[in-house]
Formats: sequence, C-alpha cells, structure tokens
Amino acid sequence: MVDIQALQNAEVDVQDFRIGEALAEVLLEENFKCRFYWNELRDARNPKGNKTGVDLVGFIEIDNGEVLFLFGEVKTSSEQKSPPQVMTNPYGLENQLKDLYNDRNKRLILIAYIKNKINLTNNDDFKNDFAAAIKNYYNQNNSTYMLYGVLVRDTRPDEKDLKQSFDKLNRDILENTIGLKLLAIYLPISKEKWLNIINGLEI
Amino acid sequence: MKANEKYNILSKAFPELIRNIDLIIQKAKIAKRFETITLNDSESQEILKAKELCELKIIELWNNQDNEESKALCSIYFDLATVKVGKIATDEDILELIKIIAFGYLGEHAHFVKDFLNQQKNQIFDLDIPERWNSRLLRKCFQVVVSLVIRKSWDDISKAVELINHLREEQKQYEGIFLNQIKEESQPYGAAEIVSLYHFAKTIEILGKYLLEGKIDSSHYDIENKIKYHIRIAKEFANASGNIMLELLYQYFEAFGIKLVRNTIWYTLTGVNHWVSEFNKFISKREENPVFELLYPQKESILKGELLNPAYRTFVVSLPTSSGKTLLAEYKILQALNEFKERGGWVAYVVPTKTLVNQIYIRLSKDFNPIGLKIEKASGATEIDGFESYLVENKGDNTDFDVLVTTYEKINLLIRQGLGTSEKRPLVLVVVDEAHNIEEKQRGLNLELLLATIRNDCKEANFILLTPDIPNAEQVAEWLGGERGKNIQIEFDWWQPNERVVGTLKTEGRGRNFDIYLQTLNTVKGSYNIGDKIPIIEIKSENITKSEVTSSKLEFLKFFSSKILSYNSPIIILASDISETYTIADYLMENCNHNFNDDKDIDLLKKFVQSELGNDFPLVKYLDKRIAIHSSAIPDEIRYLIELLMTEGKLQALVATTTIAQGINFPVSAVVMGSYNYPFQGPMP
Repeated sequence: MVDIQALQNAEVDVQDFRIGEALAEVLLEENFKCRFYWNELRDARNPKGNKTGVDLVGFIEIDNGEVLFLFGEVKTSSEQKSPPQVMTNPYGLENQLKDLYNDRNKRLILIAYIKNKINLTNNDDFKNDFAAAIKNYYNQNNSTYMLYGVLVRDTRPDEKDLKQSFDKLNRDILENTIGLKLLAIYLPISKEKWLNIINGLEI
Repeated sequence: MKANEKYNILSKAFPELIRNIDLIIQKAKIAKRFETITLNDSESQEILKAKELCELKIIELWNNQDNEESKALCSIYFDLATVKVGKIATDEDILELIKIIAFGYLGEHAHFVKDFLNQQKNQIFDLDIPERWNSRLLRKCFQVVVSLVIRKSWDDISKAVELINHLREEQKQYEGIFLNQIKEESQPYGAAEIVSLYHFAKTIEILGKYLLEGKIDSSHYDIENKIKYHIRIAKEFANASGNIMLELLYQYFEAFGIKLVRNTIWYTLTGVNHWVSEFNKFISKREENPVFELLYPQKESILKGELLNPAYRTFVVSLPTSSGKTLLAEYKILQALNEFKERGGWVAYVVPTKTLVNQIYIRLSKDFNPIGLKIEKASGATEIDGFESYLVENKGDNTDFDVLVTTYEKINLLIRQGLGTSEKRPLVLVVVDEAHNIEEKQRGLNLELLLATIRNDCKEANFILLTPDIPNAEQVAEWLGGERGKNIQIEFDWWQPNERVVGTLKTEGRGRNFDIYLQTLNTVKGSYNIGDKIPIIEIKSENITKSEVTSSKLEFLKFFSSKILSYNSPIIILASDISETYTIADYLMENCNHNFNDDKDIDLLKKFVQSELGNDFPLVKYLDKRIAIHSSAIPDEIRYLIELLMTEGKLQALVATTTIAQGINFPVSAVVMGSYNYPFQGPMP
C-alpha cells in the first residue's frame, strides 16, 4: 500500500511546467492587457483526477475597453517535432481548449471559484473586472469570453507549432463572440537551465 | 414579499441580464404537473443563465447567509435548478446535486429538498460506481448524503452511517491500486485528493451520528466545530490536489451540514424538559414518519418566537397552512404538562369540525400514548355512552386524561358545567386550532365567547391559537394575554409549505378544437395580478364542442378534471353542493379508462361502504376507479377512511364539498374549483 502521509509530506519539485505557466502569466499581463488576481489555480497533474482546473483564469481587456473572462491553458515542450505532441495529444492544449469551449459547467466552476476569491481579497479592481466580465459572458445575444492557449518552447520559432491546432479550434468554435488566441513563446535558453537561472545558480 | 416576488431579488441583482424569470418559473412549475406543457429553448436558456447568476450572487453574499436576501436567493436557486434535471452520471453532476441540496436547505426549504431527492432517488442510487478510488469515494459519500436527507426511518440513517464504515474496508482494496496507477510525479496530487475525500466522508459520518442521537459520541455535543474542522482540512487538501470542483463542493456541503444540524430537534429542543426529551427520542425513533428536523417556521417559532417561554400566557401562532403547527402545539402541550401534570393539570385541544377532532385525536394518541400520556376526545352532538356526564362529574375531578380533543362548541358546554375549573383538575392550556374562525360571523362569536369563558372560569389556563395569517393577530394576543400575549409570525413571507401556482382556467378556439389555458393569478395583499397565459390542454376533434364544455361551470369542471386525471398526481375537485359531487364523480368514472389492480385498503373500504350504505351506493363503483366523494352526506367513519386513503396517495381524485376545506392536509397536485364563490359564511378559508 502506498503511504499517503509520506506522499503528502514530500516537497513537490518546482517543475518545468510551473515555470512555463508563470512565464505565460507575466507575458500576458505585460503585453496583452490581461489581469490575473488569483494565482493558485493550477490544473492538477493528476491524470486520474477530476479535470476541473485550468492553468489560467483571469480577465482580458479588449480593444473597445470591454473586459472579458480569459480561460487559458499553458504547455511547455522541448520536442523538436512541429507541432509538439503537447499541442495535439488527448490531454493536449488543443483538446483542453475545446473542452473549455464545450463544457459550460467547467467554465461555471472556474467562474464560481474566482468569485469566491473576491470575498477573500476584497480587491476593488478584481470586483470591477468580474462584474464587467459577467455582463459580457451572460450577454443576452451571445456569450462573450476569451480562450487562450500558450505554448512555451526552447526551440526555433515555427508557425507550424500552432497553425494546425488554431485552424481546427477556429473551425469548431461557432460563435464569433468567443475569442481564441494561441501564442507561442520561444526562449533562447534550454529548458534544463530554467530552474537554475531562476534560483540564481546559473546565468 | 410574496413567493412570486422573491424572483425580483435576482432580477434586481442583474438588471441587464435577467428578465421575466418569474413568469418562466411559473410556467416551468406547471409543466411539472402537465405533460402537455414544455419550456421552449429560449426559456430553458434563460433558466440556465438565471441559475448560474444566482449561484454567483449567493457566493457574493456567502458571509451573510442569515440575511433575507441570501436565503431568498438560495430558494430561488433551488427553484431554478429543479425545473429540469438531466441525467446524473458524472462527478460534476454530483456537485450540482450537492448545490441543490445545500441551497434548498439554506433557502429554508428542506422539505422541498426531500421531495426532490425522492423523485431522483433511482437515478442517484443507480449511479455507476467505478473502481477508481477517488471517484468511488465521492459517489458513495454522495449516496450516503442523499440517504441522510431522505431517510424514512431511524434505521435508514443507521444504515447510511454503516456505509461509511464499508468505505474503510474498501480503502484497503482500492487505495493502493489507485495511487500506483498514477505516474510518480502526480502521486502527491492524487494522494491529496484522497485525503480530502476521507475528511469529507468523516464529516458525513459525524452528521449521520448527530441526526441519530443528538450528539456525536457519548459526550461530544460540539458538532459544528467538528464539521468545520474536517471540512477545512478537506478543502486544504482539495486545493493542494488542484481539484477546484471538490473545493467548491466542500464549501457548499459545509453550509448544508451546519444548516442540517441547526434544523434538528436536538439542536433546538435539547434540555427543555424531561417530557420534551422523551418525546423527541420517541418521534425520532418511531417507524412511521419519524421527525428529526423542524421546518423553518417551527424553528423560528421556537427560537425567535420564544414559543416555550413561560413568561407568555398567550401565543397566537400565525403560520401558513401545513407549516407544521400541530407539532408546535405538541411541544407547548408537553411544556404545560411538565409544569402542571403532577397537580392534575390538563390540556384542551379545540378544533372547528368533527373530522378534525378525529384527525387530531389520532395524531396526539400516536405521538403521546407511547410516552405515557392519555388522550381523550369528545365530539358527538348527542350523548351516547355516558362519557360526557363522566367528564363533568365533580367538575371533572374523576377524570384522568392529559389532553382532551374536542370542538369549540363542545368544550364550551363542558366548561360551563365545571370541567377544568376545579383545583384538582385545572385546565392549564387551551390549544385553539384553525383560530381564524374567530373572524367568521357565527362561529367566531362562539369562539370568542368560549375564550372569554375560559379566561374567566379557568384561572390557570394559557392559550395557544393556531391560525394561518389573520390580520388582527396582535390584538387577539393582547386581548387574551395582555402584556403576556405574543404573536408569532415568520419574517420571510415568501416561505412556502408547498409549490403552488394559482390561476383561472379559460378556453380559446372553437367547435371541437380548442385549448384550455391557465391564466395565472398572483395574489398581492388581497388583490390579484393577472399573469401569463399558459396553455394546458389542447383539444383536437373531441366528441364534445367548446360551447358544450363551457355551457356551465359544472360542465367545464367535469370536463377539465377528467382530462387531468392521473393516479400519480391526485387532485381535489371542489363541488358546490352534495348533488354535484355525484354528477362530477359519475362523469370522471365514465371517462376514466384506466383499470387498477386490486388494493386491499380500497377493497376494505368498498366492503365497509357496501355494508353501511348498500351495494348500490355510487361510492362503491367510484372506488374501482380510485375516485371518492366527500360531503356531509357521507357518514363520518367513511369520510375518515377516505381521508386516510387520500393521505396515502391511493386515490386519484376526491370530489368534495367544502367539508374538506378546513385544515386537512393531503398530498395533492391540483385543486380544481368550479367557482370563486362557495357557500361559506363569509370569505373562503
């Protein structure tokens, strides 16, 4: 029998995917008017568990100043092949985003979850963004929100990494009120070095 | 705020997003009864949207669960979520069901939750239980929760708690397999989820034990902190495992658990007195209709209304019909007897009709005989067995009952002859049921005189008047009790003992093709708002025309009732006089093509009717089609048996005159009336 207590006490290593997620979040906030007020939300790396989490839940301000919910997934890959499997495999980014689009309940759980966090943070910007996003999400005519997929790579940039998945998703998402963005971030440093650089052990 | 107005709270919270939800809800409620009505796509979408927004608003007010807005929103959520329930198959569906249970409880409609879960029972207990340990745990725990809510007996709860123990056995078998199946890097997440579920299971076990005994183990009464403790850990581990669905589920479950605890008779009525404790033990353990929880108005009456505060001599309890006033009276009776029984004190329970004398007598005997109290009744207009002269001999000093159930008129006679006025056998409490009769011309006067007589002649007597809302409750309380009089009303008047939609039936169309639709009426302080038109039945090429159907109210009443006849949804049809009961019942019988299997209770009643009223009495053939009539033309005993069958859901229609209208509780799906005006003295009760 597995010792549950021992598993609980074991420190979870900071894994590469965590770094990718953090990077994605910062980049989205800096460059795309995205706002994340609650960062604890991570999809458990528990394939037998309930797949209720996503990597990113927050808000995005679009061109006309409107604020929308943003639901996003982040994947990290060093695979040389393009597109990498993390885009296309059954638990890959493409399917995860499709799932978010199809599963209204899943989105509701995410929205309810961060609504709860407003009570904890008591942050007015958070409240205002939420109220604005709700109006668009429950729009009389069509629900409006944004799906975001971020791929973090340490390979050479290649359009093929995203194109196939984007085309597929774009075809599947019928409503033009639902935004879809796929973004690839290419770092010139190999994945193995990330953790040490963050910890100041390597430059 | 009336029941239908509560939906405005939601519309106001999201003014641009939610419209007309009250009308859609009404339609949806009627749709549950009439198969012919369905919601269209856009209506279903509106309901879904309103439901989700309602949940978000509830979360916003999460830290103020006791305020009215919050409770109303929870009850709205329950209404919206139970309009249409799909398949229950996934873990997410379980979250939805837990939400429905929790919000039903938080919205003070635990009794609706029970009904709802009973309807979904088969789906819930047929739920696929996988071998995967996390899902298995969650699903089994959920089934136990449902068993705890819908329990029919003490035994059901005990078995449910036992199921949690089985999980401990299963742990050995499934836990290791589950964790070994997960990749190493994911094991801590999987383990955290399992740990969180163990604490969830533990909380359920604690709740079950508390329901059974009013304590957790031999001495532990601090149940709320126990629940909070385990749920806090469960939430922490759910968070660590990244399972946000479970985190939400625990949040809702915790609120439900604490509400359930606070609704129990244990929470509200422990340590009142010896009789109450004995009574609680008995009513929770008995086989038939055990009581573990109080309804919202009952709890409010005891806690906020201070019903058991002996400083008050008179209580006027103004609560909606079927909100459980009798149980409140029972607690009050026990309190009075606790104080005065040793000195010979007794209680009078007075009601307006002979039917009610029987009903209350049976109820009190069932509830009080087992704890050693003696109940008597006196109702006959004429003296047959010398019982009444015995009652008044030596001012009642020879008697030994604890509670006497009787009519207003009869008790008046008895007290005038001295019963209850002696020091040896003082009348210490008068329970006046259906006290709104005080508003009525003739009986009101009798009742008023009666109360005045008792106040004068029986020095020790306290009063409790049970009534649906009456406008002058305050004055009555003060008249009888002075400063020591108290009127108990519930604060939230949107609270409903049952789900009902009121409307008038109209027809549209011509010839043999026409529709019957319901024009809903919303009562707002005595006036009616006319609401939506909801089509109920579409008549196509019937061998009767619209003008024939609508030629008289009686024709229409017959026709409509026959169209909605259904064994699973019994109805009451109010006829304006005795002869109409036969006309309507004949018509229903002729138009009912369903053949029923033999039922021994029905057969017994048939035989009894045959022996009392002859083989040809029409009721005999009506009963074959599970239809009965109820009027003063039917002897008391038979009427009583009919009422019993109706209560047990063995009749599909009861055609009655206004004899049925006072204070009698049946599970019915619709009451059809031919007219607004029935031959009552004064307004309709």
